[in-house]
Amino acid sequence: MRGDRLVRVLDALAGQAPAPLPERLCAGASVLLDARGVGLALEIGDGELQTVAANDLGHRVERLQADLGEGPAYLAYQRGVPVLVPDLANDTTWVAFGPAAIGAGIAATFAFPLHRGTVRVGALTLCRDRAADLTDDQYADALVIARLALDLFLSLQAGGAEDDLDRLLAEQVDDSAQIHQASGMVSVQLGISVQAALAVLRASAYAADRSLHDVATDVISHRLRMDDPT
Amino acid sequence: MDPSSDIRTGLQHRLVDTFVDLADTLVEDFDVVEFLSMLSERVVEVSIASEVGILLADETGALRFMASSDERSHLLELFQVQNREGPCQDCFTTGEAIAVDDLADARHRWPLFVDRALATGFRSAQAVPLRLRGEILGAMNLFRTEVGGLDESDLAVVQAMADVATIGLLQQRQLDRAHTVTEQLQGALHSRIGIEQAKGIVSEQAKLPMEEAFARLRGHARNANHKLSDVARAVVAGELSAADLRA
Repeated sequence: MRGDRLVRVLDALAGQAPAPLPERLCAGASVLLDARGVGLALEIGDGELQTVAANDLGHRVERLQADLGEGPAYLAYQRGVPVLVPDLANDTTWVAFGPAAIGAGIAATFAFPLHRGTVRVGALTLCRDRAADLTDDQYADALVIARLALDLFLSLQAGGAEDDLDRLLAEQVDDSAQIHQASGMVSVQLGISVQAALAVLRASAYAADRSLHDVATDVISHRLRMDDPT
Repeated sequence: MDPSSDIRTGLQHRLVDTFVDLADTLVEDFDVVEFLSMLSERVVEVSIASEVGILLADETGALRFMASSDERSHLLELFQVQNREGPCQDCFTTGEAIAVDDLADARHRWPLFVDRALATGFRSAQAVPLRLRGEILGAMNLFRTEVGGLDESDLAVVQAMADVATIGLLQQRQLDRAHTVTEQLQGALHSRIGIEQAKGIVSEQAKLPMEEAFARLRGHARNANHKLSDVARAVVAGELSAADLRA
Protein backbone atom coordinates (compact mmCIF):
# COMPACT_ATOMS: atom_id res chain seq x y z
CA MET A 1 0.00 0.00 0.00
CA ARG A 2 1.09 3.53 -0.69
CA GLY A 3 0.87 4.72 2.92
CA ASP A 4 3.68 2.28 3.69
CA ARG A 5 5.90 4.19 1.29
CA LEU A 6 5.66 7.36 3.35
CA VAL A 7 6.47 5.41 6.52
CA ARG A 8 9.46 3.76 4.84
CA VAL A 9 10.82 7.08 3.58
CA LEU A 10 10.36 8.71 6.97
CA ASP A 11 12.11 5.80 8.67
CA ALA A 12 15.05 6.19 6.33
CA LEU A 13 15.28 9.91 7.14
CA ALA A 14 14.96 9.35 10.87
CA GLY A 15 17.80 6.80 10.64
CA GLN A 16 20.31 9.36 9.28
CA ALA A 17 22.95 10.91 11.49
CA PRO A 18 21.77 14.07 13.28
CA ALA A 19 22.22 17.07 10.99
CA PRO A 20 20.06 19.91 9.71
CA LEU A 21 17.03 18.48 7.94
CA PRO A 22 18.07 19.43 4.38
CA GLU A 23 21.32 17.45 4.85
CA ARG A 24 19.45 14.50 6.30
CA LEU A 25 17.06 14.58 3.39
CA CYS A 26 20.00 14.34 0.96
CA ALA A 27 21.63 11.52 2.94
CA GLY A 28 18.36 9.60 3.19
CA ALA A 29 17.65 10.07 -0.51
CA SER A 30 21.09 8.71 -1.37
CA VAL A 31 20.40 5.49 0.48
CA LEU A 32 16.79 5.00 -0.62
CA LEU A 33 17.29 5.90 -4.25
CA ASP A 34 20.71 4.35 -4.80
CA ALA A 35 22.10 7.75 -5.79
CA ARG A 36 25.75 8.64 -5.24
CA GLY A 37 24.85 12.27 -5.18
CA VAL A 38 21.83 14.29 -4.16
CA GLY A 39 21.31 18.03 -4.31
CA LEU A 40 18.53 20.35 -3.21
CA ALA A 41 18.17 23.78 -4.81
CA LEU A 42 15.75 26.65 -4.27
CA GLU A 43 14.61 29.29 -6.71
CA ILE A 44 15.96 32.66 -5.60
CA GLY A 45 14.36 34.93 -8.21
CA ASP A 46 14.21 35.15 -12.01
CA GLY A 47 14.22 31.38 -12.26
CA GLU A 48 17.71 31.09 -10.80
CA LEU A 49 18.37 28.08 -8.57
CA GLN A 50 20.64 28.12 -5.54
CA THR A 51 21.93 24.99 -3.79
CA VAL A 52 20.77 24.55 -0.21
CA ALA A 53 22.17 21.12 0.57
CA ALA A 54 24.09 18.38 -1.23
CA ASN A 55 26.17 15.29 -0.57
CA ASP A 56 28.98 13.39 -2.35
CA LEU A 57 28.58 13.67 -6.17
CA GLY A 58 25.64 15.98 -5.52
CA HIS A 59 28.09 18.82 -4.77
CA ARG A 60 29.50 18.48 -8.27
CA VAL A 61 26.18 18.25 -10.08
CA GLU A 62 24.86 21.26 -8.18
CA ARG A 63 28.02 23.25 -8.89
CA LEU A 64 27.82 22.49 -12.61
CA GLN A 65 24.18 23.51 -12.78
CA ALA A 66 24.89 26.76 -10.93
CA ASP A 67 27.89 27.60 -13.14
CA LEU A 68 26.21 26.74 -16.44
CA GLY A 69 22.67 27.85 -15.63
CA GLU A 70 21.31 24.64 -17.14
CA GLY A 71 20.76 21.03 -16.18
CA PRO A 72 18.08 18.65 -14.94
CA ALA A 73 17.10 20.78 -11.91
CA TYR A 74 16.44 23.81 -14.14
CA LEU A 75 14.42 21.75 -16.58
CA ALA A 76 12.36 20.06 -13.83
CA TYR A 77 11.76 23.41 -12.16
CA GLN A 78 10.71 25.12 -15.41
CA ARG A 79 8.46 22.32 -16.67
CA GLY A 80 7.03 21.19 -13.35
CA VAL A 81 7.62 17.52 -14.20
CA PRO A 82 10.40 15.04 -13.39
CA VAL A 83 13.38 14.90 -15.75
CA LEU A 84 14.91 11.46 -16.19
CA VAL A 85 18.29 10.90 -17.86
CA PRO A 86 19.31 7.29 -17.11
CA ASP A 87 22.23 7.40 -19.55
CA LEU A 88 23.88 10.79 -19.84
CA ALA A 89 26.36 9.55 -22.46
CA ASN A 90 23.50 9.00 -24.90
CA ASP A 91 21.66 12.21 -24.18
CA THR A 92 21.76 15.50 -26.08
CA THR A 93 19.50 17.66 -23.91
CA TRP A 94 22.28 19.98 -22.68
CA VAL A 95 25.15 21.21 -24.82
CA ALA A 96 27.27 22.30 -21.87
CA PHE A 97 25.96 20.43 -18.84
CA GLY A 98 25.99 16.96 -20.45
CA PRO A 99 29.70 16.70 -21.33
CA ALA A 100 30.72 18.56 -18.16
CA ALA A 101 28.73 16.17 -15.96
CA ILE A 102 30.25 13.14 -17.68
CA GLY A 103 33.66 14.66 -17.11
CA ALA A 104 32.78 14.94 -13.42
CA GLY A 105 32.00 11.23 -13.22
CA ILE A 106 28.22 11.44 -13.48
CA ALA A 107 26.61 8.79 -15.68
CA ALA A 108 22.90 9.22 -14.90
CA THR A 109 20.88 12.07 -13.45
CA PHE A 110 17.28 12.68 -12.43
CA ALA A 111 15.53 15.78 -11.15
CA PHE A 112 12.17 16.29 -9.46
CA PRO A 113 10.42 19.65 -9.06
CA LEU A 114 9.50 20.85 -5.57
CA HIS A 115 6.00 22.11 -6.24
CA ARG A 116 2.35 22.18 -5.19
CA GLY A 117 -0.17 23.15 -7.86
CA THR A 118 1.14 26.36 -9.37
CA VAL A 119 3.59 26.99 -6.52
CA ARG A 120 7.16 26.10 -7.52
CA VAL A 121 9.97 26.32 -5.03
CA GLY A 122 12.99 24.47 -6.40
CA ALA A 123 14.23 21.04 -7.44
CA LEU A 124 15.75 17.83 -6.12
CA THR A 125 18.61 16.44 -8.25
CA LEU A 126 19.89 12.86 -8.06
CA CYS A 127 22.93 11.44 -9.80
CA ARG A 128 24.63 8.09 -10.27
CA ASP A 129 28.14 7.16 -11.29
CA ARG A 130 26.81 4.43 -13.60
CA ALA A 131 24.07 4.51 -16.23
CA ALA A 132 20.82 3.04 -14.84
CA ASP A 133 17.17 4.00 -14.80
CA LEU A 134 15.24 4.55 -11.58
CA THR A 135 12.99 1.63 -10.74
CA ASP A 136 9.28 2.39 -10.41
CA ASP A 137 9.67 2.07 -6.65
CA GLN A 138 12.58 4.51 -6.56
CA TYR A 139 10.62 6.93 -8.73
CA ALA A 140 7.67 6.81 -6.31
CA ASP A 141 10.03 7.23 -3.33
CA ALA A 142 11.65 10.21 -5.04
CA LEU A 143 8.25 11.90 -5.33
CA VAL A 144 7.73 11.48 -1.58
CA ILE A 145 11.20 12.89 -0.86
CA ALA A 146 10.55 15.87 -3.15
CA ARG A 147 7.27 16.44 -1.35
CA LEU A 148 9.01 16.36 2.05
CA ALA A 149 11.69 18.74 0.76
CA LEU A 150 9.02 21.18 -0.38
CA ASP A 151 7.29 21.05 3.00
CA LEU A 152 10.63 21.49 4.73
CA PHE A 153 11.51 24.64 2.75
CA LEU A 154 8.07 26.16 3.22
CA SER A 155 8.38 25.43 6.92
CA LEU A 156 11.87 27.00 7.11
CA GLN A 157 10.63 30.06 5.24
CA ALA A 158 7.89 30.38 7.82
CA GLY A 159 10.40 30.35 10.67
CA GLY A 160 10.30 26.65 11.55
CA ALA A 161 13.35 25.05 13.14
CA GLU A 162 15.88 23.25 10.95
CA ASP A 163 15.76 20.14 13.08
CA ASP A 164 12.09 20.01 14.05
CA LEU A 165 11.26 16.77 12.26
CA ASP A 166 8.13 16.13 14.34
CA ARG A 167 6.56 19.45 13.51
CA LEU A 168 7.40 19.05 9.85
CA LEU A 169 5.78 15.64 9.71
CA ALA A 170 2.66 16.81 11.51
CA GLU A 171 2.18 19.68 9.06
CA GLN A 172 3.25 17.61 6.11
CA VAL A 173 0.25 15.32 6.29
CA ASP A 174 -2.10 18.22 5.83
CA ASP A 175 -2.51 19.29 2.23
CA SER A 176 -6.19 20.07 2.18
CA ALA A 177 -8.08 22.15 -0.37
CA GLN A 178 -8.70 24.77 2.35
CA ILE A 179 -4.98 25.47 2.69
CA HIS A 180 -4.65 26.14 -1.03
CA GLN A 181 -7.83 28.26 -1.14
CA ALA A 182 -6.61 30.30 1.82
CA SER A 183 -3.20 30.79 0.12
CA GLY A 184 -5.02 32.27 -2.86
CA MET A 185 -7.07 34.60 -0.64
CA VAL A 186 -4.07 35.79 1.36
CA SER A 187 -2.10 36.44 -1.84
CA VAL A 188 -4.81 38.97 -2.80
CA GLN A 189 -5.05 40.45 0.71
CA LEU A 190 -1.31 41.13 0.85
CA GLY A 191 -0.58 41.60 -2.84
CA ILE A 192 2.00 38.79 -2.82
CA SER A 193 2.48 35.51 -4.69
CA VAL A 194 0.52 32.41 -3.69
CA GLN A 195 3.79 30.82 -2.63
CA ALA A 196 4.63 33.71 -0.31
CA ALA A 197 1.05 33.63 0.98
CA LEU A 198 1.47 29.98 1.93
CA ALA A 199 4.59 30.92 3.92
CA VAL A 200 2.64 33.71 5.66
CA LEU A 201 -0.10 31.24 6.61
CA ARG A 202 2.46 28.82 8.00
CA ALA A 203 4.22 31.55 9.94
CA SER A 204 0.90 32.65 11.36
CA ALA A 205 0.13 29.08 12.43
CA TYR A 206 3.56 28.71 14.08
CA ALA A 207 3.23 32.01 15.91
CA ALA A 208 -0.20 31.11 17.29
CA ASP A 209 0.76 27.46 17.88
CA ARG A 210 -2.18 26.34 15.78
CA SER A 211 -2.44 23.92 12.88
CA LEU A 212 -2.12 25.23 9.35
CA HIS A 213 -5.51 23.77 8.58
CA ASP A 214 -7.23 25.70 11.39
CA VAL A 215 -5.67 28.98 10.33
CA ALA A 216 -6.66 28.32 6.70
CA THR A 217 -10.24 27.55 7.74
CA ASP A 218 -10.43 30.85 9.64
CA VAL A 219 -9.22 32.73 6.57
CA ILE A 220 -11.78 31.07 4.28
CA SER A 221 -14.65 31.71 6.68
CA HIS A 222 -13.59 35.39 7.00
CA ARG A 223 -12.77 35.14 10.71
CA LEU A 224 -9.17 36.02 9.99
CA ARG A 225 -7.56 38.40 7.51
CA MET A 226 -3.82 38.64 7.04
CA ASP A 227 -3.96 42.34 6.17
CA ASP A 228 -5.80 43.10 9.40
CA PRO A 229 -3.42 45.09 11.64
CA THR A 230 -5.08 43.89 14.86
CA MET B 1 -45.68 -2.83 -20.23
CA ASP B 2 -45.36 -1.88 -16.60
CA PRO B 3 -44.08 1.63 -15.91
CA SER B 4 -40.93 0.50 -14.13
CA SER B 5 -39.59 -1.09 -17.30
CA ASP B 6 -40.18 2.22 -19.11
CA ILE B 7 -38.03 3.90 -16.48
CA ARG B 8 -35.37 1.24 -17.00
CA THR B 9 -35.36 1.76 -20.75
CA GLY B 10 -35.16 5.52 -20.31
CA LEU B 11 -32.23 5.06 -17.97
CA GLN B 12 -30.46 2.77 -20.42
CA HIS B 13 -30.80 5.39 -23.15
CA ARG B 14 -29.34 8.05 -20.89
CA LEU B 15 -26.55 5.69 -19.95
CA VAL B 16 -25.67 5.04 -23.58
CA ASP B 17 -25.76 8.80 -24.30
CA THR B 18 -23.49 9.40 -21.34
CA PHE B 19 -20.90 6.88 -22.46
CA VAL B 20 -20.95 8.28 -26.00
CA ASP B 21 -20.41 11.81 -24.61
CA LEU B 22 -17.59 10.72 -22.35
CA ALA B 23 -15.90 8.77 -25.13
CA ASP B 24 -16.13 11.88 -27.34
CA THR B 25 -14.40 13.96 -24.70
CA LEU B 26 -11.66 11.39 -24.23
CA VAL B 27 -10.43 11.60 -27.82
CA GLU B 28 -9.84 15.33 -27.50
CA ASP B 29 -7.25 17.29 -25.55
CA PHE B 30 -9.33 17.64 -22.42
CA ASP B 31 -8.93 19.07 -18.93
CA VAL B 32 -8.86 16.30 -16.34
CA VAL B 33 -10.68 18.16 -13.54
CA GLU B 34 -13.36 19.38 -15.94
CA PHE B 35 -13.75 15.83 -17.23
CA LEU B 36 -14.09 14.34 -13.74
CA SER B 37 -16.57 17.07 -12.71
CA MET B 38 -18.69 16.31 -15.76
CA LEU B 39 -18.44 12.59 -15.08
CA SER B 40 -19.60 13.12 -11.48
CA GLU B 41 -22.60 15.10 -12.69
CA ARG B 42 -23.45 12.32 -15.11
CA VAL B 43 -23.28 9.66 -12.41
CA VAL B 44 -25.91 11.64 -10.47
CA GLU B 45 -28.09 11.63 -13.60
CA VAL B 46 -27.85 7.91 -14.30
CA SER B 47 -27.88 6.56 -10.74
CA ILE B 48 -29.85 7.11 -7.58
CA ALA B 49 -27.02 9.16 -6.06
CA SER B 50 -27.73 12.70 -4.85
CA GLU B 51 -24.08 13.78 -5.03
CA VAL B 52 -20.92 12.16 -6.33
CA GLY B 53 -17.24 12.89 -5.78
CA ILE B 54 -13.92 11.49 -6.94
CA LEU B 55 -10.86 11.09 -4.71
CA LEU B 56 -7.33 10.26 -5.80
CA ALA B 57 -4.37 9.07 -3.71
CA ASP B 58 -1.36 11.41 -3.69
CA GLU B 59 2.30 10.41 -3.58
CA THR B 60 2.16 9.87 0.18
CA GLY B 61 -0.94 7.66 -0.01
CA ALA B 62 -3.36 10.30 1.28
CA LEU B 63 -6.70 10.65 -0.54
CA ARG B 64 -7.25 14.02 -2.20
CA PHE B 65 -10.44 15.56 -3.52
CA MET B 66 -10.40 15.78 -7.33
CA ALA B 67 -13.92 16.63 -8.49
CA SER B 68 -17.59 16.36 -7.58
CA SER B 69 -21.10 16.88 -8.91
CA ASP B 70 -21.37 20.01 -6.75
CA GLU B 71 -18.58 22.17 -5.35
CA ARG B 72 -20.30 23.39 -2.19
CA SER B 73 -17.73 23.72 0.58
CA HIS B 74 -19.37 21.42 3.12
CA LEU B 75 -19.56 18.69 0.48
CA LEU B 76 -15.91 19.19 -0.35
CA GLU B 77 -15.03 18.80 3.32
CA LEU B 78 -17.04 15.61 3.47
CA PHE B 79 -14.94 14.11 0.70
CA GLN B 80 -11.76 15.39 2.20
CA VAL B 81 -12.28 14.17 5.75
CA GLN B 82 -12.02 10.70 4.21
CA ASN B 83 -8.26 10.95 4.02
CA ARG B 84 -8.66 10.05 7.69
CA GLU B 85 -11.80 7.91 7.89
CA GLY B 86 -14.87 6.97 5.89
CA PRO B 87 -16.07 4.64 3.14
CA CYS B 88 -13.58 6.01 0.57
CA GLN B 89 -10.64 5.41 2.91
CA ASP B 90 -11.82 1.83 3.53
CA CYS B 91 -12.49 1.29 -0.16
CA PHE B 92 -9.00 2.55 -1.01
CA THR B 93 -7.39 0.36 1.65
CA THR B 94 -9.28 -2.85 0.83
CA GLY B 95 -9.88 -2.35 -2.90
CA GLU B 96 -13.51 -3.41 -2.37
CA ALA B 97 -16.70 -1.44 -2.96
CA ILE B 98 -18.14 -0.20 0.35
CA ALA B 99 -21.87 0.28 0.90
CA VAL B 100 -23.39 2.07 3.88
CA ASP B 101 -27.16 1.68 3.53
CA ASP B 102 -27.86 3.67 6.68
CA LEU B 103 -25.22 6.11 7.84
CA ALA B 104 -26.79 6.33 11.30
CA ASP B 105 -25.67 2.72 11.90
CA ALA B 106 -22.05 3.51 11.04
CA ARG B 107 -21.33 6.11 13.74
CA HIS B 108 -19.09 3.80 15.74
CA ARG B 109 -17.09 2.99 12.60
CA TRP B 110 -16.43 6.54 11.37
CA PRO B 111 -17.65 9.04 14.01
CA LEU B 112 -16.15 12.11 12.35
CA PHE B 113 -17.31 11.26 8.85
CA VAL B 114 -20.81 10.09 9.78
CA ASP B 115 -21.63 13.16 11.86
CA ARG B 116 -20.63 15.43 9.01
CA ALA B 117 -22.48 13.39 6.41
CA LEU B 118 -25.69 13.38 8.47
CA ALA B 119 -25.37 17.11 9.17
CA THR B 120 -25.05 17.69 5.41
CA GLY B 121 -28.35 15.86 4.91
CA PHE B 122 -27.15 12.49 3.65
CA ARG B 123 -28.53 9.16 4.85
CA SER B 124 -26.53 6.59 2.88
CA ALA B 125 -23.21 6.36 1.04
CA GLN B 126 -21.25 4.14 -1.33
CA ALA B 127 -17.64 4.02 -2.43
CA VAL B 128 -16.26 2.13 -5.44
CA PRO B 129 -12.56 1.81 -6.26
CA LEU B 130 -10.69 3.43 -9.15
CA ARG B 131 -8.64 0.45 -10.30
CA LEU B 132 -5.76 -0.08 -12.67
CA ARG B 133 -4.35 -3.58 -13.09
CA GLY B 134 -4.95 -4.51 -9.48
CA GLU B 135 -3.67 -1.24 -8.08
CA ILE B 136 -6.13 1.10 -6.38
CA LEU B 137 -5.69 4.72 -7.45
CA GLY B 138 -8.55 6.27 -5.49
CA ALA B 139 -12.31 6.00 -5.10
CA MET B 140 -15.62 7.29 -6.39
CA ASN B 141 -17.99 8.28 -3.61
CA LEU B 142 -21.79 8.42 -3.85
CA PHE B 143 -24.12 10.04 -1.34
CA ARG B 144 -27.91 9.75 -1.09
CA THR B 145 -30.38 11.78 0.91
CA GLU B 146 -32.33 8.58 1.62
CA VAL B 147 -31.41 5.31 3.31
CA GLY B 148 -30.89 2.26 1.11
CA GLY B 149 -28.21 0.94 -1.21
CA LEU B 150 -27.51 0.25 -4.85
CA ASP B 151 -28.79 -2.97 -6.39
CA GLU B 152 -26.44 -5.11 -8.43
CA SER B 153 -27.12 -3.49 -11.79
CA ASP B 154 -26.74 0.02 -10.28
CA LEU B 155 -23.45 -1.04 -8.79
CA ALA B 156 -22.26 -2.36 -12.17
CA VAL B 157 -23.11 0.99 -13.79
CA VAL B 158 -21.33 2.95 -11.07
CA GLN B 159 -18.25 0.73 -11.26
CA ALA B 160 -18.22 1.24 -15.04
CA MET B 161 -18.32 5.01 -14.49
CA ALA B 162 -15.46 4.70 -11.99
CA ASP B 163 -13.48 2.81 -14.65
CA VAL B 164 -14.15 5.65 -17.09
CA ALA B 165 -12.80 8.07 -14.46
CA THR B 166 -9.60 5.98 -14.31
CA ILE B 167 -9.30 6.10 -18.09
CA GLY B 168 -9.75 9.87 -17.96
CA LEU B 169 -7.03 10.21 -15.35
CA LEU B 170 -4.60 8.25 -17.50
CA GLN B 171 -4.70 10.22 -20.70
CA GLN B 172 -1.61 8.80 -22.32
CA ARG B 173 -1.80 5.61 -24.27
CA GLN B 174 1.63 4.47 -23.25
CA LEU B 175 1.10 3.03 -19.80
CA ASP B 176 3.63 0.26 -19.85
CA ARG B 177 5.57 1.75 -16.98
CA ALA B 178 4.32 2.62 -13.53
CA HIS B 179 6.37 5.84 -13.93
CA THR B 180 4.03 7.09 -16.59
CA VAL B 181 0.93 6.29 -14.57
CA THR B 182 2.34 8.02 -11.49
CA GLU B 183 3.33 11.06 -13.54
CA GLN B 184 -0.18 11.43 -14.95
CA LEU B 185 -1.82 11.08 -11.56
CA GLN B 186 0.60 13.69 -10.21
CA GLY B 187 -0.40 16.00 -13.04
CA ALA B 188 -4.07 15.60 -12.14
CA LEU B 189 -3.41 16.27 -8.44
CA HIS B 190 -1.38 19.40 -9.14
CA SER B 191 -4.02 20.58 -11.56
CA ARG B 192 -6.63 20.38 -8.79
CA ILE B 193 -4.39 22.20 -6.30
CA GLY B 194 -3.86 24.98 -8.84
CA ILE B 195 -7.62 25.31 -9.19
CA GLU B 196 -8.02 25.59 -5.40
CA GLN B 197 -5.39 28.35 -5.35
CA ALA B 198 -7.20 30.18 -8.16
CA LYS B 199 -10.55 29.75 -6.37
CA GLY B 200 -9.10 31.52 -3.34
CA ILE B 201 -7.86 34.42 -5.49
CA VAL B 202 -11.14 34.87 -7.37
CA SER B 203 -13.16 34.52 -4.18
CA GLU B 204 -11.15 37.28 -2.49
CA GLN B 205 -11.03 39.58 -5.53
CA ALA B 206 -14.75 39.37 -6.31
CA LYS B 207 -16.02 38.72 -2.75
CA LEU B 208 -17.60 35.43 -3.79
CA PRO B 209 -18.14 32.13 -1.98
CA MET B 210 -15.68 29.39 -3.06
CA GLU B 211 -18.25 27.44 -5.08
CA GLU B 212 -19.14 30.62 -7.01
CA ALA B 213 -15.47 31.26 -7.65
CA PHE B 214 -15.18 27.76 -9.08
CA ALA B 215 -18.24 28.31 -11.27
CA ARG B 216 -16.67 31.52 -12.65
CA LEU B 217 -13.42 29.77 -13.45
CA ARG B 218 -15.21 26.87 -15.08
CA GLY B 219 -17.60 29.12 -17.00
CA HIS B 220 -14.74 31.20 -18.34
CA ALA B 221 -12.81 28.10 -19.40
CA ARG B 222 -15.83 26.82 -21.31
CA ASN B 223 -16.71 30.13 -22.94
CA ALA B 224 -13.16 30.93 -23.94
CA ASN B 225 -12.53 27.30 -24.93
CA HIS B 226 -9.53 27.05 -22.62
CA LYS B 227 -8.60 24.27 -20.24
CA LEU B 228 -9.75 24.88 -16.68
CA SER B 229 -6.21 24.24 -15.40
CA ASP B 230 -4.81 26.85 -17.84
CA VAL B 231 -7.34 29.43 -16.67
CA ALA B 232 -6.39 28.65 -13.05
CA ARG B 233 -2.69 29.02 -13.88
CA ALA B 234 -3.33 32.41 -15.54
CA VAL B 235 -5.25 33.59 -12.48
CA VAL B 236 -2.47 32.54 -10.11
CA ALA B 237 0.12 34.19 -12.38
CA GLY B 238 -1.89 37.44 -12.27
CA GLU B 239 -2.56 37.36 -16.04
CA LEU B 240 -6.30 37.07 -15.41
CA SER B 241 -8.32 38.60 -12.58
CA ALA B 242 -11.85 37.88 -11.39
CA ALA B 243 -13.10 40.87 -13.41
CA ASP B 244 -11.75 39.31 -16.63
CA LEU B 245 -13.66 36.07 -16.22
CA ARG B 246 -16.51 35.72 -18.68
CA ALA B 247 -19.46 34.18 -16.88
